Amino acid sequence: MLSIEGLYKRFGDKEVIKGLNFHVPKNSIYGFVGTNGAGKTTTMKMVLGLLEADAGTILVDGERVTYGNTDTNRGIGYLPDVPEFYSFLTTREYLALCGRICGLSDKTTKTRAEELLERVGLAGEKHRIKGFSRGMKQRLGIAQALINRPKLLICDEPTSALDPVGRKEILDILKEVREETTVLFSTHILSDVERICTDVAFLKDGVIALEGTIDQVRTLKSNGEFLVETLNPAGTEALCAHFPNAKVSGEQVVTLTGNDDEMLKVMAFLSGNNIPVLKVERAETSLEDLFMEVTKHE
Amino acid sequence: MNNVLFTWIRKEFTDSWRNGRLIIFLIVCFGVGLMNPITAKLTPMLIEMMQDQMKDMGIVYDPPTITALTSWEQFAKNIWIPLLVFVLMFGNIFTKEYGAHTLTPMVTKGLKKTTILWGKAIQLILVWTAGYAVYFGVTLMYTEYYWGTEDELMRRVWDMTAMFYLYSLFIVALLVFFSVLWKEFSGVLVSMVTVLGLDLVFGMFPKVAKVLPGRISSPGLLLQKGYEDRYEYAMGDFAVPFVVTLVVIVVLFVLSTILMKRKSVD
Repeated sequence: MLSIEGLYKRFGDKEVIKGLNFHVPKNSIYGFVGTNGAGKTTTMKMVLGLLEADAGTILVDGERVTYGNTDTNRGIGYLPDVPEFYSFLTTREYLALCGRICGLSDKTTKTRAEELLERVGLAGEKHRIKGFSRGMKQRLGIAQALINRPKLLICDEPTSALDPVGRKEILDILKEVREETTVLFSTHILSDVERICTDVAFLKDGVIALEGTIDQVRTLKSNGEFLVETLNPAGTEALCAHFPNAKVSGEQVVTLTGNDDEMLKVMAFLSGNNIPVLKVERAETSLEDLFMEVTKHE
Repeated sequence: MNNVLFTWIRKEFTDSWRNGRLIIFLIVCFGVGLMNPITAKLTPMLIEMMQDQMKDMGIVYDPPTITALTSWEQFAKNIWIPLLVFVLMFGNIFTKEYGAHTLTPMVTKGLKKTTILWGKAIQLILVWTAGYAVYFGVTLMYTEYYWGTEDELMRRVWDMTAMFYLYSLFIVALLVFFSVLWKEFSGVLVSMVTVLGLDLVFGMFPKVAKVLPGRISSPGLLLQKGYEDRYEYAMGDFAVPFVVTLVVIVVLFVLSTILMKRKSVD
């Protein structure tokens, strides 16, 4: 859906984006993660044609993005971190304006606006936008971004300034829209990525440091540990005695290292010796650990 | 008219209507337009009322004869007031959007920057034209009611009005051009004052003054005594700056369009 090749951007002496390459698959929720100042917003603005790239190619659904020409934006919805609206309009008037700008007919716009306002929980809101809370603005921001049924929805840190309830609402909406669109979602809140994203890329110093599906990324950086929690201390002792690399890592919890074959051997041992267990699970590396590892300064 | 451009212009008018700017501006134009014949009408009465006091002070002053010309002279004198109010009230229609980042969702929906420029420029022209028409119309109505305007004077009034209208479009074109260049309204105002100041300074040199737009900014000259005898000559005198102003307006709009395409509105 979105393809970026060899992207460069410099502000004065500072090179912010240094040969960025990544591909966002169709119907994915792509978490674009990086520290503040890593270049996430700069990249998104270049995708939207709001900033001019120094070099590189950006393709949105196969169509090249050109600065100053907003044609590719017709297939994109954009939700900035702090969306700003015309406060003198009502939600319906604002969505009508957006619909007409996208080239939708008045009838389609009206139907779509009602559908979206219902979805984001603003259907009963008849007042002007002036006086809306941050959360309401964010929800209206999603509605405006989706008015033209975009192929690609770009969200720039949409949850960074919201309370937990507001965050959950926004994440739920983004999760729902995956069926009809591809979502590029920049954030530095890793729990949000874990909650909704299918793919993730870590941006560090203007290049992608790690990219893949959430499972791939975890496996890639996993050290092969798995945990066995036994029902009684005797089981823990038996495991430690039989497997030299077993380490007690908690009350009746043993940590072992190895691939899936090794894990099967352990399970066969437990079964063969009638050792009761509560669980056997692969120790997953959290995205936070991965992020810290990827972004640490050498 | 392009549907998106029409939508954009409608949004601009909704803004100025709902925040009261449009109605306030039209009321100001009406009030200042009304002041012209009223001032002319009241002047002799005021002088008459003060005559006793003036006599005591040894000043003898015959009340002037008030005609339609007096009212139109007031019109020419006050013509800058609506324009100044217009620039102050509507001059920030670009810069306030840059500051509020309200254009970002529009541009990311595919709204062309040139449509933003032309929508706002058309709104500025329409609002100013409406205000100027109110200003002229009110003066005309009351002047006709009190004195009636002879055909010869009326011809000069029309020419004067058209002349200043073109000059006001030059001001609008400058406003649009500097609004494309700057992000802050203060930058726009300072640039405009600088250009108008330079126009004034160069206007002191008679040879240069003949071609500058500033020449048509004082069309009240056309009403002065003596101009009726050499009217054709006077119009000829204004012809060159009229054409120059027209060309400058076109150039400013073309440059604004080119620069707007490259401008970051985020």
